[in-house]
Order: sequence, then C-alpha cells, then structure tokens
Amino acid sequence: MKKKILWLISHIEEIISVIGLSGMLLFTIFNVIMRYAFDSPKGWATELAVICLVWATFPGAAACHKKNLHYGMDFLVNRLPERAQYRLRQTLMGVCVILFTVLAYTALLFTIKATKTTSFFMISYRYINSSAIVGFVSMAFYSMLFFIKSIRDPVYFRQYYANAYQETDDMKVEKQGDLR
Amino acid sequence: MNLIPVLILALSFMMGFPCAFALIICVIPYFIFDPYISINVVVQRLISSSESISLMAVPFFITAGTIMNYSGISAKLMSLADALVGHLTGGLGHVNVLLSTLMGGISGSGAADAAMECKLLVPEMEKRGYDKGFSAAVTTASACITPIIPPGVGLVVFAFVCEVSLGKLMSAGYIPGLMMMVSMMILVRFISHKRGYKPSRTKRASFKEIWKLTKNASWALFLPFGLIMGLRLGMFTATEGGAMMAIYSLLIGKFVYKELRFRDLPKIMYESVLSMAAVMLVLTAANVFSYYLSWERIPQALSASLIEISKNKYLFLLFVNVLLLILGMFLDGMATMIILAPLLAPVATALGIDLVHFGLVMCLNCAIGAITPPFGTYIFLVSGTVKVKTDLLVKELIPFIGVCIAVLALITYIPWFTMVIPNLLF
Repeated sequence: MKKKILWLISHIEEIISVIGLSGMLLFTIFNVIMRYAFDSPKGWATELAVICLVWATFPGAAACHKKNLHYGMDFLVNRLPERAQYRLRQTLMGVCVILFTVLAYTALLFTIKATKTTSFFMISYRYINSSAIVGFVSMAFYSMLFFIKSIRDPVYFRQYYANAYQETDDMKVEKQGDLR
Repeated sequence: MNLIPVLILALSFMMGFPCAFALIICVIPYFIFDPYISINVVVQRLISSSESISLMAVPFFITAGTIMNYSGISAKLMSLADALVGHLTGGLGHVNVLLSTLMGGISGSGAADAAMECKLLVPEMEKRGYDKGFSAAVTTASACITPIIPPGVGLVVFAFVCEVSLGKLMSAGYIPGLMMMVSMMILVRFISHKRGYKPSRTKRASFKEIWKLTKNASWALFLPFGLIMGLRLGMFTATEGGAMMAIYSLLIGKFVYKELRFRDLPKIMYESVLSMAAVMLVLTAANVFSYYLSWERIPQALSASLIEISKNKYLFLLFVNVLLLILGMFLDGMATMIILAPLLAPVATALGIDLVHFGLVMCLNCAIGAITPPFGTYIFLVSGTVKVKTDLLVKELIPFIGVCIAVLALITYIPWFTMVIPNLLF
C-alpha cells in the first residue's frame, strides 16, 4: 500500500497529464458525435477539453523534465571534455532551479490575482492557471533534486542525461518491434 | 532595438539548454528591466497560448501516431511493400523506402519510422548480404519522407503557427513525398545494381496477392485520405480530425488488426503525453519569445531587411533553404519550425509565396536537416540503434542527401509540385 502511494506521488505529473489528454480526447469526440448525431454541439464539452489541454501541458512538461526529454542541441556539450561537460550541465541545472522557482512564484501570484471565469461553467481561471503552478513547482523540485544529486551522486546525474536516449518514444517503438 | 534576449537565446542553445527553457529564460531579464512590461506576462502568455482550441490538434495527431505504432500495422505494410517492389534489384532497399512512404500516412513521425525500420528491416537486409552502412543509410534517408506525407506532425504544427489550412497543407505533401520516394528508389536501384544486391523475392507478386495484402492494410491506408476529405468537405475541423483519427486508430488496432490491447492504453497515453508535452512547451514558450519580438518590432525589421536583401522570392527561398539545412543539422526540426516559421512566413507572404508551398518547403528542409552530417538527429538515432559507425553511415548517406537536396530544389522552385493537389481539391 505504502509502495503504491509512493508510486502515485512520484508519478503524479504523468497521471494528471494522461487524465488531461484522455479527457480532451473524449470531450472532443463527444462533441463531434453530438453535432452529427443530434445536431447539438455542446459548448461545455469544448470548454472542458481546453481545460484538459492546459492540465495536460504543464504537468506533462514537468514529466518530460524528469526524464530529460525536452528538445535541445547537445552536440557542442557532448564534445567537451568529460569534466567540463559535467560542470556545464550542473550549472544549467542550477539555472533551471532559479528559472522554475521564479516561474512557480510568478504563476502563483498570477493565479491568486485571476478574476476571470470561463464562459459556460463560470469556473474561476484560478483552477486553470493552477496547472502552471503544479508544472513549475514540480520542475523546480526535480531541478533541485538533480542539482543536489550532481553534487552528491555524480553517477546518478550522468545517468539522467544518458537516459534521455533510452526513454524517447522512438525507442519504445523499437521495443514494440521486438515484441512482435 | 534590444537584441540581448536573442544573444542569450543563441548562447543557451549552444550550451545545450532545452529549447523551451531557453526561449523563456532569454526574455526574463528583458521583462524585469523593462519598466513597461510586467514579469507576469511570461506566465500569462504561457498559459493563454496553451488554451487554444486549434492547438489541441497537435496532441491528437501525436496520440493517433502512437496508437498506430501499437496497432500492428507496420508488419502488414511491410508485407505489402515487399509484394509491390521486392522483386526489383536491391529489393529490400526498395521495401525500406516504400515502407517509409506508407508509414508517413500512418505515424507521421520520421524518428519513429527510422527506429521501427532499424528493428524490422536492417537485420534482414544484413542477413541477405547488404552492407550494414548501406542498410542504415537507406533507413536514415527514407525517414525524411515520412514527415511530409500527411498527416505529418510537422505539417500540423506549421498549420497552427502560421494559420494555414491544414487540409491544403496535408494534400500538398503527397507529390513531394512521392518524388522523394521515386528518386530514392532510383538511387537504391543504381547502387544495388553496382554492388549486386539481389531482389528479396524471386518473382513479381501476383495481382491476387497484392490485392489481398492491400485489403489487409486498407483500413490504415484509408486514414490520411479520409482525414483530408473530411477536412475538405467541412465534416470536421483540424482539431476534431485529429481526435477522430486517434479514435479511428484505436478502433482498427483493436477490432480489425486485433494487436492492440486495452491494457496497452495507459502506456500509449503515457508515451503520447511525453511526446506532446515537449512540443507543447516549445509552442507556448515560443509565444512568450514572440511577445518580446513584437514589442521590439523585430519581425517587421527582419522582414524589411530580408526583402531588401533577397529582392525576389527565389533568392529568399534559397536563403531559407540554406538557413534551414544548416539549422536542421544542429537543432530538432520541430523546434526550428516553431521558432522560425512565424518569422519567415510574413516575408514569404510579402514576396508572393503561397504559405502552403512555403510550409511544405520548410517541413522538407527540416527533415533533410535531420539526416545531414555532422549532427543530424536521425543519424545518431540510426547509428545508435543499428550499432554502425557514424563515419560509415555518413559516407553511405551522402548520395541520398544529394538526391534529397535535388528534390528539395525542384519543390522549392517549381511550386506546381506542391500546389497541384491543393488547387484541385480546395
């Protein structure tokens, strides 16, 4: 039970994002069906789909950061001597800590000040903007974790960058080919 | 004009900072020190740009591609490709190219296509006496056909960022895709003849066999045509089309091909989320960066200078070709497109270039950039997966790059190739 809870906590960004993507898909399909079968498209379904999109985006971006899946060009870094490479990545991770802390704080202020509501359900935009807080807090947390690991556990930190190539969806296609 | 954010952006890119993060971090000092803009704008732009209905098309198309990868279609398409071209000299090389073209209409991702073929085809090619370098080179090169065949995700992104009709853009991809396929097959035939690579089957497949295999794959092959026609007839919007495609892929994977299991769904959604969130964050971050650009009136200044320098559309297109090929060697095609398309599209329009044509040129350029040494992303993907030395792969890849650039030049300077189908359909 404890293991399950820990798993849920450590994968919360992925879970939220998957729910968001699934919801978005279902609400959009529902609307297409309502439009064709009953000639009655539902405004609320579009509104919910957009909310799901925002909630899929920011926690999803945090999930990508956890696995170092954001696009970047590392050809120059890869050509640096091992030590310089490590130091540069460590510095960049430190910059990430500052960047995401600033963004999380700004998102929090922005969310608190939100007064707008959605047009159909009259849901406060605070509930929509909170997705950015969740995403940036998670990214700040993981950046801090990786930064600390870079000081205490260099093997773990190196693995974080090596993992990116094994975790892409392309590689999963390969694994699937194996199964077949 | 304050260009410090642009310099910070270039420096961050070079240091290997992820594009999305670099696009945000480069403008933060600018917003902090400008007394007229609040730092809140960063978060406001990030959130508001992700609240777009048309933007939903991007995750939907990515999800549809991921579902298709699980539906068991690649093996069926490979059998069909083998029946169609396996009897030619260098049969498996032709199968490789044709399979990439067919997969373009299914997954829309060049990287996914290259990874799949590395596993499905390269070992078989090696077993039948093809050089490892050649097998890897055909796989790498043919992967740049996939993104321009509808429904390539790059096309969806371009349609979104430049507000171009997705239906027109998708239908424009067919002829360039076929031109790439035919020219690569001619090259494969030429090399295979010289090296004595045998056909993969002893005789041409019978019409009955081809018909049977086509029927097997038809549910998946119908998908891009259905999508374009649905968009053309106004049956659904691009966003709804993406959602329909995802559901359609799910239904045929489960009930027609019977290889997709419902228990795979969480895994599929998880993979889709990781793919789409990375793209979405670049898209939203580019929106923050574009706020700075507009505030400084940089797009207008850039347009004026480009029009001044290039004088006519042909010179401008040449400039775009060279710029994108160089950037494509270093940067992911999707990121290049998201950052540069909004800057270059107004100039293209001002010079009288149709944005559908321009979009196709950009997509193909970015795809070719990914196979161009020294740092093309597909080169590393294939050499890592097949375990072939990069030097050997690059050496074998050079004639293919030459062919790709020749096709790119034809497509760039003869718009008829891209515009004929959109003009007929729309």
